[in-house]
Amino acid sequence: MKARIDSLRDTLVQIGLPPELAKTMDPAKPMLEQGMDSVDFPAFCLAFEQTYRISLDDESVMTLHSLNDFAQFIGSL
Amino acid sequence: MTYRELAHDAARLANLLHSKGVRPGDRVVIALPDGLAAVKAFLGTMLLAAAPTPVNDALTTEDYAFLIADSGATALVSLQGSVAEKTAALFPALILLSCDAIGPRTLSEHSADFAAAPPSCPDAPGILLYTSGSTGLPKGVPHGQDSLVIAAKGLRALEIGPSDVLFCVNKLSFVFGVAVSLGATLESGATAILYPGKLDAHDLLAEIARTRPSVLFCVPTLYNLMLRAVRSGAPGIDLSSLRLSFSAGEGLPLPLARAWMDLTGVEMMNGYGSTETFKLVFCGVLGQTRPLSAGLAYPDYELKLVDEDGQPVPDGAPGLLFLRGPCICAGYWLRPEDSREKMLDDGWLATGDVFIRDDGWYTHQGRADDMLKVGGTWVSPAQVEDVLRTHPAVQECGVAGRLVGGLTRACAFLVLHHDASSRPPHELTAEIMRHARDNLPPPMRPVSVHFVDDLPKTPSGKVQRSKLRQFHEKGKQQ
Repeated sequence: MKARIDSLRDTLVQIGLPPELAKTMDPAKPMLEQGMDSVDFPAFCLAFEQTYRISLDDESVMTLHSLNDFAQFIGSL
Repeated sequence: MTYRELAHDAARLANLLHSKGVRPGDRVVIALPDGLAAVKAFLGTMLLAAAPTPVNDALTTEDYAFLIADSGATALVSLQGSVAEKTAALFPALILLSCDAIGPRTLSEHSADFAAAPPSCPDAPGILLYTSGSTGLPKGVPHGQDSLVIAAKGLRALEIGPSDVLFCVNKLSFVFGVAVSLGATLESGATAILYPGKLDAHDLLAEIARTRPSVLFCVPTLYNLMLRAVRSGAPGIDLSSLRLSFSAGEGLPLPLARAWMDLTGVEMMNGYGSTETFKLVFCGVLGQTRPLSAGLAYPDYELKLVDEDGQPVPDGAPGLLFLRGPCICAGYWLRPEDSREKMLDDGWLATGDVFIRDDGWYTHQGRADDMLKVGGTWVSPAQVEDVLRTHPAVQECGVAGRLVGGLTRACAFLVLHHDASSRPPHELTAEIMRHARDNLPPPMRPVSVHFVDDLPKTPSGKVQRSKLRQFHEKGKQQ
């Protein structure tokens, strides 16, 4: 789980989030409440799709809020 | 070539075309590289009251077949052995006039006297131009022959005179190339430089050093590439002959204008017109450098900027440009549906371009169909591109919309400088996304960046954002 979270933090940096913010983001809390905005989030979803070579449907996206959510989503594949 | 020699050869060419069976009102497709042959063919066809129909000289057989058939051309003037000439075999009734770079080989056998023919009928096109086809098949745009004179007068703000040497990068197959290299040159008695091939930044810099133009007409994409070539130490640069740089064809980014003016030490003007208007609608004012703006409106145009509901917008707000005025095409050639969409019954032309008006100056915001509505805010791809281009790794870029979770977001396609292209993509992506985050408000920030070798462009050098949009649409279908 930790390895997945670390990988997701790298993805946060890749979409332009300040590295400090990516590093300190609480994996259990919604990312949009921790400094991410309306453009960061779709950018993160696209980068996530590209990194893990998957396609997120709109319904799944609605259920993903925190780093833990995304990590668990990968684990469920 | 002197004006007297040109007049004689144009008359000879009119006689030659007439002897082959071309008559007033006919369309004559001219598929020649920029040069003396093309100018003679254009003017000779006009003397005959037929319609010169200039097209790009580097098209495919399929493209030429379409243009010949669509225009209903009676004759084709092309280079001996060219693709265009070979295409003529598909049209047995087509009159073929073969040229070398100077003109038809038998030209001197014909008389240099020709009394200009009267128009065949008021509705026959005097000149038939084709749009570049950036959003579909090229459309024929008929104009009267007087449009060339009116378009030339539209460039008087540049105070062009007989001592000027004009170098227009736009080819004679494009409206701006015709307006400058033919119209403004003939009207003012200036000298035109006609370059037959495709120009990249290094070619253009070399030609400027060699031919020493006083006024350069170019598209921002090429100004940008020239600037970067100069900065990377390209040899033999000499821009000292310039007294003015003129930009048209796409929005001129302010940082680019500033950098070009710093480099050359001369003023930069901007303008806006289209194949449908022939003449510039907006043009800058000498001595009042406002490169970001397309300029002030010519007083012979009636203009309105409106929102999506057709209501006028106040100064400072983006609005769709509608205009009425001289030499606006009354309808596309044999395209009644397209004509109804753009040429409205009451004489207004729906340009499809979005502008902001500020104290009488008009600033282009992009094509209405290129504009993105992100989070309720109109986003101009051009403004996003301006910011992304300020990143040192970015050589060129194009921005288009894509749907993410059903919402439109901006995404960027970037051509990298060669010294940046070896860097790890994830590192560069992070850097460029951070650059966007630091310099753009949220709706304007791209949600993704793609590194590409080339951007799709029209022959005149404009980025084809419609093709960038298709990149994601196609990806979705696969």
